[in-house]
Amino acid sequence: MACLTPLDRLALLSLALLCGSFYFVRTSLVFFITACGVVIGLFVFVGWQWTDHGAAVERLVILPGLALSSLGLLMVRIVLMRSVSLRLLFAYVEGQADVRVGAAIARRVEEAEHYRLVTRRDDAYALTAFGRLVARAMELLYRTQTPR
Amino acid sequence: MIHLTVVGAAFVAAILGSDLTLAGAKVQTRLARVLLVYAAVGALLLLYLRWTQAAGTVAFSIYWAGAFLSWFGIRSHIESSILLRMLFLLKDGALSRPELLAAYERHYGAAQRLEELMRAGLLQPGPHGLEATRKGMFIAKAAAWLR
Repeated sequence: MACLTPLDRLALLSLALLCGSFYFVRTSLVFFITACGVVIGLFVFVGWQWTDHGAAVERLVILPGLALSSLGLLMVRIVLMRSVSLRLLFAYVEGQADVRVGAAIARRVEEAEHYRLVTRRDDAYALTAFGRLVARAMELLYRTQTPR
Repeated sequence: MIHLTVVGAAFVAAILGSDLTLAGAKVQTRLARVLLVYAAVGALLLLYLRWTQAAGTVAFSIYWAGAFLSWFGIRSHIESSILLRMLFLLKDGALSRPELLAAYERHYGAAQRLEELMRAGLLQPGPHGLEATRKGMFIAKAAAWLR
């Protein structure tokens, strides 16, 4: 620990706080995002005010590192909260014979409507302009990620 | 500025390298190979940062951990998101709710998910149907703890 600079210590503390927030602030995504914002804000404030001003590149490497960690943890939290495959795995671990995931899948149609990604006309669902944009981006991504 | 460009380029290189390594497979099925790619590119980046004295090991480690975590999170989410897959299915025209759910089930329903869990070594056929492997038990316990 003796060779760690004050900026290193601050960065490690910030990362630890992000990881702690991931574990403890699990009930709401909004709270988690807020916690991440506060931690990164504190890092910027303290890091730019009170640590070595010659370590500009270090600060500019650590800052996106913390932001990317927050984004990654947020994505992992979303997967943990919503993953149907994980729910299937839980069911088999608990030895449940009859595993139904249809309702969880069907709920996503309402979510798409709620987020204004689709609109309902008569009995059919169609993409909104925003939904079309997302669908095009997904088409591009799926083209490179199609499982073989 | 050159140092930050190199740092950004290393992340892009790791993303491209990981995608080439995956060759279209799911992240969970080839995670070890992806970790190797990140380790190799990360080692080169660390060498550069230490050689140029631009940044230390702690700064590098935090950046690289964030780089991997964000890539892993986004990639996993894109691969498994039901909502995004449904939007993709709607791109060719409107569908009724039963049509949309049937189209989704055909492409990525429970059967495909179970197959994928088996391919990842999390489930295996047992005497009374599918059962969780030791790896599957471990992942389920870890996920339950983090949930």
